[in-house]
Amino acid sequence: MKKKFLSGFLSIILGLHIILCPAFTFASAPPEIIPNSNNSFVFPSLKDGVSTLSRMSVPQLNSYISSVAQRDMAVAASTSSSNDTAATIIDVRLALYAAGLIAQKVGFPCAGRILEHSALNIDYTESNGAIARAIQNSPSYEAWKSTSNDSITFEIASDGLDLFLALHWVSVNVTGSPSSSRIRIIDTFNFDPKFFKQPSIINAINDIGWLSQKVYLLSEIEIQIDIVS
Amino acid sequence: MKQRSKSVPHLILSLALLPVVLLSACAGAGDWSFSGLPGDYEVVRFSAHVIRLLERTSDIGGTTVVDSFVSELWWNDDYILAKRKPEDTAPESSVSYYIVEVATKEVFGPYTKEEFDARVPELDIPFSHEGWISVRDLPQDSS
Repeated sequence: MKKKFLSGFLSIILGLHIILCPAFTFASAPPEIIPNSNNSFVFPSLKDGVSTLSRMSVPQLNSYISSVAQRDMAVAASTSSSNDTAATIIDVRLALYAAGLIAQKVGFPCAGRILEHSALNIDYTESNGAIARAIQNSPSYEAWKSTSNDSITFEIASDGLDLFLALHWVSVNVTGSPSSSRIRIIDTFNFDPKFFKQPSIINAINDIGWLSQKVYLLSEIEIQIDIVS
Repeated sequence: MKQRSKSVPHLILSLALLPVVLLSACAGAGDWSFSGLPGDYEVVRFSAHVIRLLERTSDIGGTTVVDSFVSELWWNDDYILAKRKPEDTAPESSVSYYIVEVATKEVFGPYTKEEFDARVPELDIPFSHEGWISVRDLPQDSS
């Protein structure tokens, strides 16, 4: 069941790269990033994969995702060379990490960062970073500043899809004086088996995210964002 | 061949869903709120382990009335009753009880079970313990 799920998931990842970057070649790659063999990358560990993928361009990242998926499909269809192996959980997690890197470059900087961290099972913490700036520029945050609420909800219509999908409902903790305060926003990245009152596509996102958690492709992580005056 | 023909519809479905899914598999998707309570009160899930009862003060959020972990609720038009544990995995013996009066927005508690059982009839609340609803079972068609 897990193997079938991984293969299906690789189909999904391949679909992503096709839609996002239909035209790419290795000819555009920086010379210092060289595929391992047969024009594919097989990393022995998450650490090795992160080190290499973090230096890649979007076309190279898409090529990596494609290589993982194609290699696994070839193994499944018994058309691969004898050296190829089926995708492991590390391979798919790195593919999700690569998807997070791509997302940051194609208009989803907040969601991409969180996806990247979840794929690596690393809590996300920042102070006055990219997500903090996105929050400060959002209408919901601007409206919140004149309230005494300890929770904010970010919505697609007002704050945009990227911020909504990165955070949605968050707790807010304010410390210090109004002129020198720290605003700490806390959230947890995870999915719940029961979910309602959202558009059906969001339910689909939640369902796939829940399944990803079940096979440890994505992990529940804590998010802490400080806005420091 | 049979394997390939099965994989094509799967891939097409994946292509249809996936750009949004993978780019957006993030915290927001798992959060929900249940607003089928009287007044401006909502139950909000921030994560699997953090569920609070909030008073919604505007479109963009609210203030905590009963902190996490709110495990069960009962309500009518006049009152909201809530059971709270220190955390979702805490035993039933750690539960404290709260009573929210909708009209005045007064919050009574935390009570022990004995204190709660004494207070409920004093406020003339038509409640029995069989009426508790788990937050996990909140009705989907309510809003």
